[in-house]
Amino acid sequence: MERKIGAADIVLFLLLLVLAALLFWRAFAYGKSGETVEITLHGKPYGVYALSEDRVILVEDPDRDAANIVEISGGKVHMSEADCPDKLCVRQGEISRDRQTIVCLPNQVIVTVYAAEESGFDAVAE
Amino acid sequence: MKRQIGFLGMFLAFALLCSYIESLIPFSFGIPGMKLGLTNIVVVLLLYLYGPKEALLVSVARIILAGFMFGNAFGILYSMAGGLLSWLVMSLLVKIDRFHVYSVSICGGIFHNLGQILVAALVMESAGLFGYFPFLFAGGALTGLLIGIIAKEVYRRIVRLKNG
Repeated sequence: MERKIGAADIVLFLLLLVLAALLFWRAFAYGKSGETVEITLHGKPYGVYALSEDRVILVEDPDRDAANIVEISGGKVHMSEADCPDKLCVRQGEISRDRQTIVCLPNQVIVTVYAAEESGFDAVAE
Repeated sequence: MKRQIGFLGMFLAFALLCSYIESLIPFSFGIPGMKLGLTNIVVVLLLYLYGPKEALLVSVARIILAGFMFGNAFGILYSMAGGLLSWLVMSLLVKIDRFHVYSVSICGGIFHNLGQILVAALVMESAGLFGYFPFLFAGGALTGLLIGIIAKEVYRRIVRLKNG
């Protein structure tokens, strides 16, 4: 406990920093632009939509009286409204690249963007 | 031995108090059952004061008790995964004996969140959940550092109590 910060700590710190940068880079910048938007509810397919077509999708959960509104506009998709308590999904903003996701955990809604050739729910299971 | 059991009981009470404080803070990374990890202070302290066995004992007891008092069975599952994984990683790092308590605690925070997201992904049957991981990684590192700083300060003040 009384140990001073040493070489091992600095190496570990740099390693973690690089790892964090990679994770964020992969989440935000990496990947081809997407073509389709897939929505799952409770892990089950809810619908597949083209990213190029502007539309508003209401994702309703009949069993739990929960709802999210997903909006596709200008080749990007975002969660415009959600009745979950934390609204993290709404704050996540717009996504448009391959394999980017918006997750609303309380309502168990997942929105994923896929590039055309990788479309399909099998890709989710990877 | 008697003295040690008394101390461990005190730490368990302290850990439960941390759990209670956490249950009052509506901060959950958006994942049900996911918490700040304040109770890791106790795990870190016990690792340094006693050892991995004692830390595990108190951690598991805390998770089960807190789960029934402030959470639900689901919460226990998340906490258990996070708690066990972070305990494992921190025990190893302490055993290696080359890392500062901050490093140990930061890794504990990261793995705490990793364990929880693993369980969440299993429960929700979705790998898409790992989209959260960058945030949880950064968040875990940050809370881990905070907990490391607190643990070091607390340790300095109570280590005499234990030995004297």
